[in-house]
Amino acid sequence: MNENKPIRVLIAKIGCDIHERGPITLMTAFRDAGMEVIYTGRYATPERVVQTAMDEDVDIIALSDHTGSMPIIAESVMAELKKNDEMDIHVMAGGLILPSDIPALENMGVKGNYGPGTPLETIIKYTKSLVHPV
Amino acid sequence: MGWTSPEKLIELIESGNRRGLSRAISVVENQLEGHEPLLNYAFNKGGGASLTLGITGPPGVGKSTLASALIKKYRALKKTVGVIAVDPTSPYTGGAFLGDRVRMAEHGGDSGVYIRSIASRKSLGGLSEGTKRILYLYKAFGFDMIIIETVGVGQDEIDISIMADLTAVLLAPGAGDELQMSKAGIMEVADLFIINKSDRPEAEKTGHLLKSTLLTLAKEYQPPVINTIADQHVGIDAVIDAIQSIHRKRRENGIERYRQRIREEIRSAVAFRLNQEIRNAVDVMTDRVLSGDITPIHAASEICRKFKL
Repeated sequence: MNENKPIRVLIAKIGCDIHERGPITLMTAFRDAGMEVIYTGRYATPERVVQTAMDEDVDIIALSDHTGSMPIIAESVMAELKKNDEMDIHVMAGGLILPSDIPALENMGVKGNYGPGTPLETIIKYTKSLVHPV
Repeated sequence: MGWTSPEKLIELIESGNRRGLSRAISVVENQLEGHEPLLNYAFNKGGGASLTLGITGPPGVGKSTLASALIKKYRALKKTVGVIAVDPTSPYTGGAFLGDRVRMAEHGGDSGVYIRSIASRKSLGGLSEGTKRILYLYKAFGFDMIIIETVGVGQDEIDISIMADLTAVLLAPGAGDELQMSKAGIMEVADLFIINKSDRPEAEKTGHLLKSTLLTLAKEYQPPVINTIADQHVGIDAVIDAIQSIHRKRRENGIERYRQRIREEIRSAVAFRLNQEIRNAVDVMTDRVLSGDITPIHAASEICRKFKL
């Protein structure tokens, strides 16, 4: 992998969730960290998110949700990735995630699982390490 | 999708595989291993049937929304559409927020529409270079209609207008500033003016102002002015008709335009490489100046010597 290639991230909001402050904050933070950030907009579907990730050839899908439905969302996205044989696209999650849901998410291979108040530096550092492991 | 050889990527593109196209774009955009054979293949394959439309204009006038409305019409006509949506790269951090897809979300599930968001990477002198490379691949992939969307009109956009078959300049009502800009250079790139958001009260006035500005051109060179309300799909048929009729006229002096395009394609490739080399040299020299070794004047002439200038 070429180190000069900017990291490409797709921020996705699936389902009926209008809370955009989180993804917008993250978009700005990722951009300022030198990444190329694409946003699906609200009300995306798992199929559309994975298709977009493939079309945009992103390194990471970052799922944002504030309705407590992350396990359902993540499961459908992971299934869609598997169906398309795209398991090397990393999946991260953030937003309002129940602490009790985190083990199940990690089990699915969903990384990060950041809740409110996580320092942006933590997220950025981890995101970079996913694409360029040290 | 892991690393894939250019031969395999070409095979995938030939079979109409979008994932192959998508990975090939990353390869040529980032000059990864195998980008030259891919570009040569794509150029040789060409795409005689494709029509490339450039859409440009200031931020917020509705370029993506218009593109989305055009896609809808072209899809109804059973044409496949490829979109290159360019957004600016931050000159400070090299990062970019590529937001155009949000306005085109309704086409996300359509297998006949491919949208790729790219960052201008302008600080590398790469906007026209990156777009050109992706355009080669789009043509080889065989989209019927290709749309390139870029912000503003500067030198890079003028270069892109050479690569597109025709360029539409989008304006919104009520901004005299935009007409000022039109005096400065937009005239040369616009084959077509579109006043979007025409349900706004100032639309008529903006139209008059624009048309009177265009009167300074000889009649046969005056681009048409079309009013649209893109988010309500108003005026889109008129845009499509204008595109067809301009394209027909264009074919008549096609050879001169093609020559101009090839010239630009070569120039942008060379400028891209040179820019990279110059940046590297400048970085080295900056360190030397900061350490008190030489003056900026020495540094500049040393770089010029290095490039035999």
